[in-house]
Amino acid sequence: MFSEALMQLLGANKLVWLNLANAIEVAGYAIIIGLVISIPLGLFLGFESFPGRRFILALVHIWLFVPAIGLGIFLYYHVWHSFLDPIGFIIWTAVLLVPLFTALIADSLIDRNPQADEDLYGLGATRWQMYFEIVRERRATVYGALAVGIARVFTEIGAFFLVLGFIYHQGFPSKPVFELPTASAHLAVAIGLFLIGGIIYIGIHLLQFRKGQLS
Amino acid sequence: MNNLLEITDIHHQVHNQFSIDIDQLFFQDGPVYALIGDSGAGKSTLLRILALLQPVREGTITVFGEKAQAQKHPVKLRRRLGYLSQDPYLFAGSVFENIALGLELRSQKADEIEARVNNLLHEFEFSAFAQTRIQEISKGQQKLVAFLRTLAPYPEILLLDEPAAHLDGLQYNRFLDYAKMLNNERGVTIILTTKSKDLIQRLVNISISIRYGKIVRIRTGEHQVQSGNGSGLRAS
Repeated sequence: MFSEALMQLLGANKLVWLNLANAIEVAGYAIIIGLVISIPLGLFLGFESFPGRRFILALVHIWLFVPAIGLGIFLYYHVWHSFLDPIGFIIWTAVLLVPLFTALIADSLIDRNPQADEDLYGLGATRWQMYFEIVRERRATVYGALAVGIARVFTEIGAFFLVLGFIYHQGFPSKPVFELPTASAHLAVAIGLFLIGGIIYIGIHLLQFRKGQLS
Repeated sequence: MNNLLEITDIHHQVHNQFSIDIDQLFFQDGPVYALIGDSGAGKSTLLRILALLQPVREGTITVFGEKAQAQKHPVKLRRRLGYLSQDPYLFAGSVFENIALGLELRSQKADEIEARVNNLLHEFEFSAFAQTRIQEISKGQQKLVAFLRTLAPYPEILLLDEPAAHLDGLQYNRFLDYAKMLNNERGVTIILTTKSKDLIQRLVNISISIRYGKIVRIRTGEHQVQSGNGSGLRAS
């Protein structure tokens, strides 16, 4: 089945490529929504000290360990039957992404050298200038975190294709995905998404190496 | 002489070990001051309080006649001061970029920044290192870069935490000469912390001895000043 799926992916199977394109669209919207929400949240948790910060960070980290597909199946059956529709799926993916991006951004800032903050203030930086300079200084770590997050989106959606057999406009299948006649097509889409995730991750890291940010 | 910096009724707890307790201490336009004392005496904490980087719950800090506590983020006042930390953080990038940072934060024009940074590099005979990445220079050179970064925005008061640490003989002499020139010719008031007797003898006019957050003695040159009067300094 794997070789058949690869052939479908490399060949011009319209169903596979249509689903792949739609999955990329879903991932794109989810990433944009996720970033819009999680960048300010991550910066806030990364920079500001306030009572309850550690608790919120712990909650965010716990959310990272929630099995996305298991929770997805639970939601589908018990809460929201249409969450595998394109809009629902975008929202679901964004909900999964927000804590991931938030945790990764916050973590990449929390372990910075506090002397950098003080020296920036000592040089006359405003609070926003301090944020900007620290993010710029930590950009390799922040970009790395974003690379992990974006790659994770594609692999999660790939996993949905593989486990749930989610097909755009066809919804949730009644049988296990590998018993479906379109099983190899599902696998082809999943492989495609895993590859995209991997390429994005490696690509961002290679770019950073070229710019000397990780040297 | 004018009071440039003044702290009144300061009480600040330091790591549950001791507290900085000062009834009144003021720094006037002109002299080079040194905060001296053993390690952990509270010198650096006091310097950070004076640099408006360490908030205090009790007491008043007045800088250039303005009460700093009245402002949540006293950026305008901080921009008139120049603070060099004991172990300064230098940012990834070149020597030039690091020295230019304070000027960029003040949105200075690119040609003005270039002229100022190049001038400082020239004065310290460090121009050859302008484009060198910061991690490729020695610890002493990094300290010198941090000093130049502090000087670049033309501060009216310099607050230097152990400025001579890590400097080699040549760098130390250049630092001394430049600090004297800034103080004598350009009227920049300097407040520094140090354990170096040589630095105190060659640069400092007034020494303030600190022990566990309390001012125990103030000396002007060779002459000890009684606590509570003289030389514009009063301390508990």
